[in-house]
Amino acid sequence: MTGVVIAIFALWALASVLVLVPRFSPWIRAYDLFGWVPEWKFFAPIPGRGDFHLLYRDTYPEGMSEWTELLLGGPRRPWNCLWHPGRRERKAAFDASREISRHLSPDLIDTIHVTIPYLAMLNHVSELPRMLPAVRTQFTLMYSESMVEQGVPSVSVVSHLHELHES
Amino acid sequence: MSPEIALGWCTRLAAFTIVLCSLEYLWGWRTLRDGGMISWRVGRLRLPVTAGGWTGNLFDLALAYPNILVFYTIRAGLAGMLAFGPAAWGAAWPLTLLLYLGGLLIEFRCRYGHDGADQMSSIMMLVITLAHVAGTDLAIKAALGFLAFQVMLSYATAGWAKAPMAGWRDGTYIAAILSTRIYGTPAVGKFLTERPRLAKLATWTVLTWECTFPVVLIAPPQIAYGYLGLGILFHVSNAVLMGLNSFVWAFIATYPAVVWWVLNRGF
Repeated sequence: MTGVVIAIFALWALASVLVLVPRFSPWIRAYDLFGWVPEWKFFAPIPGRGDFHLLYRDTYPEGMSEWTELLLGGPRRPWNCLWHPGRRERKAAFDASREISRHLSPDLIDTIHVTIPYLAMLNHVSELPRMLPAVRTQFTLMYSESMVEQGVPSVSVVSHLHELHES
Repeated sequence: MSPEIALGWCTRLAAFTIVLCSLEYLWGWRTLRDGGMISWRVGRLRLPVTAGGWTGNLFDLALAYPNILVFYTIRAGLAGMLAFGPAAWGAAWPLTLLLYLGGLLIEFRCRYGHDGADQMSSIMMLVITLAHVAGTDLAIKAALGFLAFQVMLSYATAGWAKAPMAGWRDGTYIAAILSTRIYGTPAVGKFLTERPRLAKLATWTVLTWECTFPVVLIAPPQIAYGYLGLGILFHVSNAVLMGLNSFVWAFIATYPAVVWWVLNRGF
């Protein structure tokens, strides 16, 4: 048994090195179904240098509301270096935003509304508590460069208007 | 330090990371609801096996809301037993295997919201399980060597991937990351943006440390411990400035393996 375990560690270590080689990486990733082979980058080589913003608006029988930005995960607090529960929601929104950005190419844009990240954002926006019953909702994803103080965020995605059903 | 004690400390620290992350998920329970950003209702659609049918119903038992809250409570409890319980519990491989499998289920539930700290804890639980399944001194030493190798590889990979990029070398990227809302402290980002030489110095300090980290495997103990001390400083800084609190515990959990290597490498 010890020999088997040592062989597993040796192969695992080898795969962890080979995944860094572009020639072997796709092959290893195809078989790494459980995420055993890590690829530690820590923001390398080119980090994200901006923020995504998720906004939504609703339509009512009387008209349409203004866009409202969702502050997912809430603001950062001084104690977040020890205890940071909001990090998960913020990271989840970031992950979904990055994934949806990959569907913005002309050959994929027509199917964007059936992708998981689109559905995740639509699901979240649709389930938000509302003071008044809205008829339809729409979300938009915007991106702002962090170091451009006066810059206007650019629009990445604008969803269709989706019917809201009372549950 | 004996291999058992070194692996025991790795286990306690990795388990503590899982306790912390599980309690954070429970505290932020709203995001796990069907309407949350980490929703099973949407996450299950990624795979046919989880999307529906009897297999989907089976996954519902652990992953649907509010069952997921019970799942995280049990996970925190099991990890707490390893983190704070008697040393013998750390060698109980069914416990570490359960924590590893639980981590896999969390990945299946929704791909969003996870990070490198989760991946490191998950890898550690599997490595510790394998070592204790074999149950020999040699397997435990191999596990420690593997963990020391992984942490060395993680820092070196990150450093050498950044080094060719002009934006890292001139300090622009570090100021830009720290200016974001998600990973930054905008006041510090602005401070560094206005002081490009300081941003460059901070980047080169991190880059040099990351790129040369593999020397811990061959350097004299004082230098090796210095590198590990800088590692703690690096992760604590990231926790304070970037909010990456769980990385502190997840990565420092591998350090007992490096210390064991330094003490026992025979040169």
